[in-house]
Amino acid sequence: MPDQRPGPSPYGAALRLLMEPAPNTAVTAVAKPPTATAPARATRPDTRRAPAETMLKVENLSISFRTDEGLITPVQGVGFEVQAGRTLGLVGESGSGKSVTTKALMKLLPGNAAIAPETRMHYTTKAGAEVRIDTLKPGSRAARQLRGGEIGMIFQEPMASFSPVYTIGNQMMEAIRLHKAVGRKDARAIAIEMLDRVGISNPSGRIDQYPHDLSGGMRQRAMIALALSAGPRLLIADEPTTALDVTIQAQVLELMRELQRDLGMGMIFITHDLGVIAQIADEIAVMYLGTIVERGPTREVIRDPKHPYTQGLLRAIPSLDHLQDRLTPVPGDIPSPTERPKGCPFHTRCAQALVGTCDRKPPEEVFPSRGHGVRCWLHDGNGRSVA
Amino acid sequence: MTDITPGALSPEEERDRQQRLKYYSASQWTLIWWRFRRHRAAMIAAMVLGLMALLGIFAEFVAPYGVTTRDANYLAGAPQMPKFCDENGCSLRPFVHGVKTERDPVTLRAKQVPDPGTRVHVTFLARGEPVKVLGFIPTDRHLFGLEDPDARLHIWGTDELGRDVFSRTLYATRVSLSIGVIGVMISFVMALVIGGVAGYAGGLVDNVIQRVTEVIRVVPIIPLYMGLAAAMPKEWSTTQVYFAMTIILGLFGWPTLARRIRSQLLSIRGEDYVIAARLAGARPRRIIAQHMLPSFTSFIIVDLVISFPYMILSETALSFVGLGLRPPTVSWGVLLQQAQSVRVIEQTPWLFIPAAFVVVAVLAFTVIGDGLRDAADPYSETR
Amino acid sequence: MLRFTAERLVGMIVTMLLVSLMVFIIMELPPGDYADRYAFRKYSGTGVSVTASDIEAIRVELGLDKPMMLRYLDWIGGIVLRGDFGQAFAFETSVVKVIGDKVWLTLAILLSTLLVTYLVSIPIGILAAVRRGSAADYGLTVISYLGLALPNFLLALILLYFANKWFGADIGGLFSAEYADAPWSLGKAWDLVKHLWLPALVLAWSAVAYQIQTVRATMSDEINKLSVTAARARGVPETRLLLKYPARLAINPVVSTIGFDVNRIFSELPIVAVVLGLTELGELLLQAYLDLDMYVAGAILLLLTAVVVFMNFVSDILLAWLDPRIKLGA
Repeated sequence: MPDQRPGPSPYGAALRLLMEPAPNTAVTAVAKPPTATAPARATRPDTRRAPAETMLKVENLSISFRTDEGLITPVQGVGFEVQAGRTLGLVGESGSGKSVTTKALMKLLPGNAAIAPETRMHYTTKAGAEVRIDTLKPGSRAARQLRGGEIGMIFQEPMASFSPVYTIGNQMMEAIRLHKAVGRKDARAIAIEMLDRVGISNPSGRIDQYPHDLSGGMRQRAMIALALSAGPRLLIADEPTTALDVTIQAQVLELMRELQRDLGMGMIFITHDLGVIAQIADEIAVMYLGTIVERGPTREVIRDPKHPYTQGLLRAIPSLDHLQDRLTPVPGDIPSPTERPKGCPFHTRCAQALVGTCDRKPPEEVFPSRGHGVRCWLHDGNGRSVA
Repeated sequence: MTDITPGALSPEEERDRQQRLKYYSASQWTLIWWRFRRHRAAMIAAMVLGLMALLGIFAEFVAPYGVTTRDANYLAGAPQMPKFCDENGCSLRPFVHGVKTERDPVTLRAKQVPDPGTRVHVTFLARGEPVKVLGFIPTDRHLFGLEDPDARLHIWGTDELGRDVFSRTLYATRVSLSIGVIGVMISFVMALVIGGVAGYAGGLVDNVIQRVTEVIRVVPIIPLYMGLAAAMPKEWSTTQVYFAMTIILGLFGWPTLARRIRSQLLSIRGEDYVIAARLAGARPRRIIAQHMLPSFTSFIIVDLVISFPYMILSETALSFVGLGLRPPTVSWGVLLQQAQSVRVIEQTPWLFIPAAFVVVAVLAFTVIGDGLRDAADPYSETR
Repeated sequence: MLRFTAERLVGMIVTMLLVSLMVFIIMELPPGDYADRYAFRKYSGTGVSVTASDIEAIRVELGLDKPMMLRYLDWIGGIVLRGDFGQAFAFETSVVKVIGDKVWLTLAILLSTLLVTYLVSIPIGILAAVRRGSAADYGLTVISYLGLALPNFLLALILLYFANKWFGADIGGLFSAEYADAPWSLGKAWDLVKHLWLPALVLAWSAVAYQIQTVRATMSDEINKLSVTAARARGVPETRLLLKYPARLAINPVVSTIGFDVNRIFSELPIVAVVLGLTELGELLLQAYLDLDMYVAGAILLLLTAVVVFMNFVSDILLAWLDPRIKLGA
């Protein structure tokens, strides 16, 4: 049984609307959400439908770790793109390699990790310069400028990601002054403005408080303010709402969407909750054991999932309409990275696995429709179902 | 949980399944033992300590001579290592050279030097002084000795009175280790009672006990021990002194452990299963013993093991300055009393051999404690 | 903060009162009383025969016939009100005179030991945690095990031996021969400083081993904290990151055990003093115990404990100042 199955989500309703077959008026249908907790999707600007500039392009990312039990490779041949102003949702169970992937982007991997030589990670900075993240040295000046200044990161545990012995202002001003040539006074002003912007009341008083003085939701807001204080162009959010209770989850998600729109940031949003993804992401990439098994525009992937794993995840979401039905979890455990199955990594848990095919060779990515890719032997080279 | 798809398992998988089954159904202590066994340093330390304990327990048999037996022909003599060869050729049986007395040409003092001209062979199960092993098995055989009953073998040399350092060290090992054991036991019982009452009762009782604990914790411990030891009447027998010492060491060794027990008890006092036991009408003693203690017994054991070194070091320090055990009782500290100055290191360095025992014993207890701590931590590894 | 300080101060006084009671009981423990020993000391060898009534007379004269509680009140009252610690019969003068400037020598030894302890253990502990698993880290672990196992009176002997062998010098004691009985002067103070390093090193030995382990363990925990990763993800340079975030928290357990370290140093002081020939309170305490000069012993035990309690107080205040989370729980 997966240890982090998507639990009841306030977005179940919105998600199901997305999953309803076919209305080409989907946007208007969702614009009147049936529950109060689901924020209005109509707030999304339509401009994002315009062709966007690719700010991050990852190709062939493989990461391996030297461990006592030998070399393990939690991420294998991952590729994705992030457009400026858009959100990529990275979905997967714990152990699927989603956090490791983002750590590689930030050059935050531990010393026993190695990125494969065929990996390419292109990033375009605020100034328009092209940076090859894969060749940066972790401790280098360029890498430090990237961290925080270009790419901001927020974490699941707001309390644990602040140092308890410094005030919020101290930590924010440190980040601001590392990336912007401003003095103490200006840095403080920027920090106060940022706290105000994330919806913290009395920001000029709160700035001198310690993290333990704030409530859970406030801390998460302060965390976002901290990550954004140096004005990054790309925000990586690693399960930012998982530790929060549902009403605060909704507020924080709304806040993040708002900030993204106002600041024009790209965003990578990591979660195991497909319901949350449906609300915030433009594109989805579903990861399983270090590989992206399916990717594509959010609506398409959710309405017409091609990969049995994606289908399984969607079936595992509780539904108010079918309370009498039992949930169908994805069967089996996620294998440990040391015992990665041969062939398609999912075949050990897949009900439709083809004996002799799925357990032999890993499937190549095929495209059933434009921009919607899947790695599964059940689909042929043209993306048609063969099962 | 692990197997969803039924069907035949390959022998490999079956074996793996059996192993897992064994692992999941093992008791807490079995798990701790399995993990401890894999801690190589701790296993070695345990063996060293075991050997030391055996040497101490069977000191009468292993030691060739008694604690106070003097060899007037070999005062402050250097260690004699049995060997197989010398300039006169080799022998299949180990031997040592005889001893002759010479006068130092400068100081004209008589001193004993080896006489390469004579050989005395070493034998096992040699006849020697009659002793009672374990206090009740009479024998005059010792593990090893010299063939010639009049000659003496001092593998670690002798002190200024001609007493065999090896034999004395073995007897001292028994005394020092046993003082540690009894001292730890006394402080364990006290910690259990005091910490148990404080942690279970809470409130005012706890407050008072905390105050007293605090007082004992702030007074420098060796000066405190020294004060109590100094109060022992001079005319007490060595046995009385021995027991008084164990009580003194045990009497003030409890605060750390008592604190640990108290805080653990306080933290689980509100757990549902404890409240359930109380509602079911169980008496406090039963609740503590049956429901609360087992949840942290392993930590108590770790604490006990690492409190040994303090006992041993305290005893050594007290005896070293003459406020602990008194001759003719020997402990490591008593033996080291003879080695208080640089002059001793220069002239008779073998008198420091007991110090090596202290270091090795303390080291062993510390390493075992670390190994046990890792083994007792259920989160230290997943399988 | 003020309330916190006041509370700790009151707690300190209560603890000291209880300690004084315990010390007094220890003073009363040896068989016989002050009068017996006084009489024995005064008249033994003089040929004067002492009768029971003579001793009784001394007892009444010194107020020793009063019940124990009253004698305790006399004793503690004298200390608190007049700074009078009683009579040192072995020296036939007052305890205060006997102790004299040895208090300052003892404090000098204490402070230099603490200084050595923290200057050595904090940087090394931090470095060991940062270079976790390296040969240096491994070596340090072995050394700190030894630090816990090798009693420091043995270390003192070993150091004395090598100093003797390599430099041919006797490095024991607190003063060179020419200053030993000289009045205080700049030269004497400098001479003291030159002699302090050895006792400081020896006494710091086990505390260093212990604190390196503590700092290394806390630092290792702190380095893996999410807050450190988060700061790194904001682009904080590595050295500054390590010093500002994990190292700042790694010294907290050290600060919180200052009192414990002082206790340990005083605990080992009498033994080390014997080997190194230090003329300070530890050595005097041991001598007093051997002579059963209990007023001197009691005074010293009380003074040493008072220093421990005071340092505990200092450590509490420092910790509250260092860690903003603590003030709330005061």
